[in-house]
Amino acid sequence: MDVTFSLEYEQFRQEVRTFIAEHWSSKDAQDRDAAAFRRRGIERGYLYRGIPRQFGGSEQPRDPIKAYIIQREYARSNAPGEISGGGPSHLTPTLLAEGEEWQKEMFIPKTLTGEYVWCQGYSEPGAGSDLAGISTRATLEGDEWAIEGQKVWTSNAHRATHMYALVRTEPNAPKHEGISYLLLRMDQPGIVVRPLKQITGEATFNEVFFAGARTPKDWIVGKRGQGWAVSRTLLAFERNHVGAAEASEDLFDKLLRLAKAASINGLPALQDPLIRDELIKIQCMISAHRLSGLRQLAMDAAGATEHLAVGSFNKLYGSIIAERIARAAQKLMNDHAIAQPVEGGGRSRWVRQYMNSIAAQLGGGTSNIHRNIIAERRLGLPREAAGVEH
Amino acid sequence: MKFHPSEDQLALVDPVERYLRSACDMPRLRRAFEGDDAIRADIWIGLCELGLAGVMVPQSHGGLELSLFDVVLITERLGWWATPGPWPWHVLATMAIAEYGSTAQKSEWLPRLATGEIVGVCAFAEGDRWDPETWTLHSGDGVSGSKDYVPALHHADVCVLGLAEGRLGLVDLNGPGLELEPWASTDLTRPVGQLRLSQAKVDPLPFGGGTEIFDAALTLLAADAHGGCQRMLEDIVEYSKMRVQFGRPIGSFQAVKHTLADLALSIEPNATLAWHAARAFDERSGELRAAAATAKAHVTDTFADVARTATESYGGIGYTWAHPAHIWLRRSIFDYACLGPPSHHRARLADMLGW
Repeated sequence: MDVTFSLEYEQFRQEVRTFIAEHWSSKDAQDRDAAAFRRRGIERGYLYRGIPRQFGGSEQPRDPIKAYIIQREYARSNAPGEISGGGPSHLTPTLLAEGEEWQKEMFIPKTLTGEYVWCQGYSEPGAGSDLAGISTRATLEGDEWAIEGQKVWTSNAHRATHMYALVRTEPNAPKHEGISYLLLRMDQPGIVVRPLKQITGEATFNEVFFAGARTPKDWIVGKRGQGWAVSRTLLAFERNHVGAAEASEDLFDKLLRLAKAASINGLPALQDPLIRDELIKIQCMISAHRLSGLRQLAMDAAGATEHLAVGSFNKLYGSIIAERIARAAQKLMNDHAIAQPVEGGGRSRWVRQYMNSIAAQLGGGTSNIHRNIIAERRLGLPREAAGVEH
Repeated sequence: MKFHPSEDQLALVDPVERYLRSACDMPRLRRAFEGDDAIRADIWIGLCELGLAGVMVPQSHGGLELSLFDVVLITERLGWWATPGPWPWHVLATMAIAEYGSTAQKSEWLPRLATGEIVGVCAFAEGDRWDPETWTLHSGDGVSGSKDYVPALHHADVCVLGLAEGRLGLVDLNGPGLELEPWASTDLTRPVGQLRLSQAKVDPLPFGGGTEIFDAALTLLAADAHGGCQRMLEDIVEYSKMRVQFGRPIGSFQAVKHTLADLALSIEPNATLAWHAARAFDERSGELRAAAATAKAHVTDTFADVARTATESYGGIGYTWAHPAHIWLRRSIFDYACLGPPSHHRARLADMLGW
């Protein structure tokens, strides 16, 4: 379902659609043309709307509905829009809020064009859910920080040019007050990136080892010891997760095709009453998720106060849907889940999705951590045991 | 775009909420729950004084002529307060007459229904069959048969009946040839009964409307269930902050926190399901049937889970008659079963989608 808006917005949608049709076709899909098209998009005010022009954004007045329409239209045509990843979505807003002017000038424009590719150095082997327990150390040696330690679950580290990282700079300060937010280059001898093979057999994450890695003294965002607070800046920006249901919708369509193709006791699986019931349950959840995303958009556009912890709700709800799709697919795969009789048989991807849906419960904070956030921030329940955390 | 209530709509709900806060406070609700008819009647009269009996009656017949989306928002609050009485059946009866009745039927019934001078209800079920496709009664002067699980039957004056071929008809409950048998009801805020007709008069509504009114009923039941979900969650959250065991509030234990977070998670996105169905009704959209089935199936299913888990989370106190949790637990059982259980509407939905 595509939502329709007031006439003014529908005209805007037409404008965006025409712009894309005139300037982009899938045969343009080479890097240089993509970059040129992206530049045009910024000039038109379609991309990086919240970022000042001096840093490479288009500096548009806030309008969540326009932003939504632009995102939908770009996705529809598969046209190159904003660069994805932590650089534009995490580091840039953090720098805008907490960075020095020269840092904004130096890092933001090249991040927005994709020249600088960032990875996020947060999790460590000893600091997962308890992120503030990091032990990677940075010590000032002359004009440089020297970094020793290890990060893990670092997506994109193998192709990143830079990292934004949380490191311990004040070893004697209390846990949350001893952390700084540093920026560093990835192409240096003190850094080793090793792919981390995951349960699917692929390696989309990495381990990153620091042994005498270096970064200039002033590549720090915020003051020494304030890195924890700086890394939380984004929480205040947390809003508008409209579209969170779209990934589920695509996956569900594929599940439905599987249910039509697979058979149970000689009948199409979709005719099996239990399968039908479970699939409709999932479909109901997806409807609720999609509609409440539109509600969040409407609230956002009206300037209404956002519900607390809305990001945790969306993340958790989406991962529950992914899990239910995986479990339904398991029933439908039958013995194809043991081995593919035919090389390249399409059903094997469901084995991968089955395992991937576990990652959905873990990445970006485990499901139980998000349950804590919902319980504490939205429901106002007390923290678990005073004294353990602080 | 109507994915969030407007300021006007919120302003509409506000006086209803203020009224319910005193009309359905716990001592009064408890008395109504225990069978005090005077309190039940008093709560309904107050709602009528706010004009709610005529929310869906055209202004030309003395009503407020609101939208079903407005009624959904009101119904959520009535569900939150476990409001006893003929809501939303009375509203559905007025909708049926206003939309599908003849000029004479409208003039005869609507003005008095709009003020609440008389009460309307709806009768759909024949045994365990609720859907318009399964209705068998006909209209005419000598109709015999019965309708089951009719809510608020004993306080009603006129009943909208589901008839064969998805049609609707009116029965004057003060007329001859009728027997009203009260049944032992699970939900003590909404007693039901059986309506038996022998050679009774059923006056047909000339313009159909059975499926639309049934879909509106599904939508309003979902709204009631959503309000009930919110109330049960809010109450158990407050209790968990206050109740101390092992020297700390039980709400600080992760086992409790995660249980309640999961309830919040299952409730949060559901409001929009009934809103979406109501909007489809108001706009005469083809999405109504699927949207109403989705809302009823999913929200009343959620209510059943929420009510059960919340009641259990109180520990022993929640299992006592004196504790109010079972008022909503009982409403959740009603909402789940009434108009057909969630699994039934999921099966309908699968058929509608051509699966």
